[in-house]
Amino acid sequence: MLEVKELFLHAGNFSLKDICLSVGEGSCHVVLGPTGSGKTLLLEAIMGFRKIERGRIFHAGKDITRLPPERREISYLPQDLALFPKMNVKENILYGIRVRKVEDETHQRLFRDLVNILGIEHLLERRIERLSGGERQRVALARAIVTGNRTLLLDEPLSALHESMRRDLWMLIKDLQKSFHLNILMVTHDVEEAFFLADRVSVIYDGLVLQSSDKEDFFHELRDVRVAGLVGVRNIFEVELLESSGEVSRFFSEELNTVVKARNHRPLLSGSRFFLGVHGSDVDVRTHPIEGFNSLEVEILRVYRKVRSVTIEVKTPSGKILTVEKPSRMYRFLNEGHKAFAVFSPDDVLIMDHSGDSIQTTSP
Amino acid sequence: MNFRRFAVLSSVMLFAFYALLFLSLFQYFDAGLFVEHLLSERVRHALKLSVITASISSGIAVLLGLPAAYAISRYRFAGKNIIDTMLELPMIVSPAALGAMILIFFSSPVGQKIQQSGFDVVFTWKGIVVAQFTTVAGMATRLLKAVMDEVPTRYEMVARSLGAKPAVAFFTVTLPLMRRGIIASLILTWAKALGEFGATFTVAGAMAMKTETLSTAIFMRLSTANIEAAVTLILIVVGVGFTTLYVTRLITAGREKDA
Repeated sequence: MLEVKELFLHAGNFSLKDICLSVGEGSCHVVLGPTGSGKTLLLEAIMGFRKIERGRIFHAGKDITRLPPERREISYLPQDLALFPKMNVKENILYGIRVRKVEDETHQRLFRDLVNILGIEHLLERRIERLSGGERQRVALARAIVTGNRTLLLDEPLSALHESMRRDLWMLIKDLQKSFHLNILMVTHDVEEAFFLADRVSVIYDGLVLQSSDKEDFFHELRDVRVAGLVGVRNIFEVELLESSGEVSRFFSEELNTVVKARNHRPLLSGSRFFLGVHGSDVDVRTHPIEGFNSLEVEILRVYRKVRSVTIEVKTPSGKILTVEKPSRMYRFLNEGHKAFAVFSPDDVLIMDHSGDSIQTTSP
Repeated sequence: MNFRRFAVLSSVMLFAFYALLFLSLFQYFDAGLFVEHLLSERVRHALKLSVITASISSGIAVLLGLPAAYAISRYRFAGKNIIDTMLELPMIVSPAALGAMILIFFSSPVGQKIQQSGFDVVFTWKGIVVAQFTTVAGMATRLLKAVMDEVPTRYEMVARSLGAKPAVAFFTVTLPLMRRGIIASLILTWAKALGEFGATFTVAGAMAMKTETLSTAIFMRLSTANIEAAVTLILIVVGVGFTTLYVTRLITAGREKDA
């Protein structure tokens, strides 16, 4: 188990601010954040490559805060994998065993098992520059695991790969995690990757962990409008609570110039201001309103058709633009300029605390 | 004239300038005299002395420069900027001034003690080594730092995460990646040491068959108006220089290919 407690450090003008997170036995914790949010810095600090000013790091029951990286028993995979160019595949994989002088039968067996599972037997004598992107990932994973280190820090190791190959490797990482009981701490900016691999997800923004939740509870616990933006919630509007009786609350949105209903999972104070968020995939475009749903009269502004999805921008009479994202097989006959209704269930509306921070949403 | 023509013409003019200088040597070139000078004991001694002292001084400069360059490239520490600036000093201070500084140091109480313990530098081959080392050590460290900067620190990070101590990570991962760069730096440093004149002349003088290097020999031949002998020595220096540059280019090209 890896545990980081109130880690604080400066790097130039940037700082990691009291980071707390933990990776349970055999689990995967993904830290999600945009570029420049401090993800790599966090991993380097945990590895011991950055001097921390405050906080403690525990690994396998030991306080490793002051230990040098080579004694932390944590393997690190940087974004570019850093396979050693002057060594072939086998030499790369066996590097950790050799420098530790532990070439015993246990490690040799682990080496054979890994090579077998990863399907890289035929690559062992090959030079690094002759490997494909996917083969490199497999070799780097083997090199990290064969040392016997059960904790892995992964710094967006799949970011350079083609999407289909990335999905294969997601599954491979899951398999490896199960087979070798690995504790994985991974940082990424890819929401889909994060939610595929993670047991627990944290969101880091400007050196600060904004939310840390088990994957299943993530959206229930989502309270911060910046987190909503980062996980791809594109439709966010500021509201005032009108009435909160029962499970469904009624809010008034000046931006939409209408009342919006949302299912609340916690007590809310009347008159308070909130942000509401609706994911693009939870909004439907219909010809008629639906009873019990939020139904906004809209005009179809733009339709972007992609290979697997279609993104539709619709405009309310008040001028607010909402984004709808659906599989590409839907809305084949939708045309720009048509009048319609944007419909979404109160169950799908996220209620977020109001803060003065700016909202960051991802681009289409 | 467009900019492209202007730029190409500038490069051609520069080439022509150096070519003219080189070709002008041949008005005093006599094959018979060239061979005779080349085989003379004095020239052979100067050549041997130059090669040996340049090899020792550049070897020491690279050996000491390697850890120093590593520290400047990889670590943050107090006084790093001052040290970095100091390394450029030999490149901008005239070699004669550097030589004078060496003489002044060795006439200080500490310097005198060093000389009394057997390491006498004034008018000796050891003085040539010290003079050459003083001139080239900063440059060697700078060249090595540039090579080291090209090797991403992530290789060492990964090596250490796999259990390698810092020195092991350096020798097993970083150093092999720097091999060509180190050789290229060594050759350039050696060539610079071989051609060193000002500091060497100031510290060791130009005693024939004792402290006369190729560079000081050229100066001595010119001062006695023995142009033919000077041309022989210049052609040797130019020949060594061209070979050095050619080999360095081959190595550097290989390095780029590796990268």
